[in-house]
Amino acid sequence: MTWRHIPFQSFDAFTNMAIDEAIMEAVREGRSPPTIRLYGWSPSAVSIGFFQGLRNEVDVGACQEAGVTVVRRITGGGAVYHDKEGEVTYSLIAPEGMFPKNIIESYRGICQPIIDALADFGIAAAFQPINDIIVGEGLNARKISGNAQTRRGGILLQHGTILWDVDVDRMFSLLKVSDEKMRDKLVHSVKKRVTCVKEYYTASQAELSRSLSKAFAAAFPGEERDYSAEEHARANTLARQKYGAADWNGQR
Amino acid sequence: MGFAVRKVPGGKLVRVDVAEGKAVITGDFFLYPEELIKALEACLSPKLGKEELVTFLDAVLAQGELIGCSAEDIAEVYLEALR
Repeated sequence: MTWRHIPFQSFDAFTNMAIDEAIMEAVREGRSPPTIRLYGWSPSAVSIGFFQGLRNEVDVGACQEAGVTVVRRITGGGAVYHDKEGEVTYSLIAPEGMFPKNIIESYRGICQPIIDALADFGIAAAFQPINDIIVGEGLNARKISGNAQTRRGGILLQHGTILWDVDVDRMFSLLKVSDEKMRDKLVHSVKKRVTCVKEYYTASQAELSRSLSKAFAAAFPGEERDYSAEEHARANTLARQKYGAADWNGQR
Repeated sequence: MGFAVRKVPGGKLVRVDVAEGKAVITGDFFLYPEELIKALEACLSPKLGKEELVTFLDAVLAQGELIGCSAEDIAEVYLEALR
């Protein structure tokens, strides 16, 4: 099966999530081939997992003041700060029959191209179940990529971020901390557990994007093509009616 | 009204909030299909002991998969929230 590879483009958070759903529909209905897209978030955004409590996880006021959009994903997992200039995000959308039934094994397979791309920068990364890519081992392990997967109506969506540059202080100014007294300790602890490409290699965000593109194309051969007009139109509707709506984002 | 939270070692965070007799389960775990969350919440009754809670939660989870925490974690966190 020939994959469609959509090159890096930035959209707002609601549109990014809407595009994923629009492509899932198109693949399900046979209108589009299995697809991998690379994207950024403009403006910077916070996405929360499907099961997270919005106000437990996000300082909504701080996000508003900072012009950071907040969106609930359809995938589980945790709260993620998507810096406009700090990361590259990917989504892989395909019939679920193309991947192992075992969820951890499917995460492992889809994360392998990311590990290959990081190797281009001399970064020895590895998959760590459930859904992380780490650099280093044991107590020295630091997370460089987080991923999340859903399977709906026979279609698998896995999306994830690869950190190019991370500002942990900024992240914690937007996310809730369960115990304010522990904030400094938590920030310090997270700085030791999270890393990014820039800490190892002087690459640009664009170079990271190109390396990921190359690795995904090698693992899932296909051709470079853009979104269809139908997908664009459907994504606009979903962004407005679902992902941008208070009852979606505030549902728990 | 109360809540309890647990970070499962090697797993994810699960929280249960209880208000006006209703329980809401939140966290950064994965559940397939995602819609099962409502059925899991419906199992949480203050009239049930831990074993019964786990039995009912497991019956729901037989229809799917929960990754990052277990039925037992949810039951124990719920019972903590009630206290």
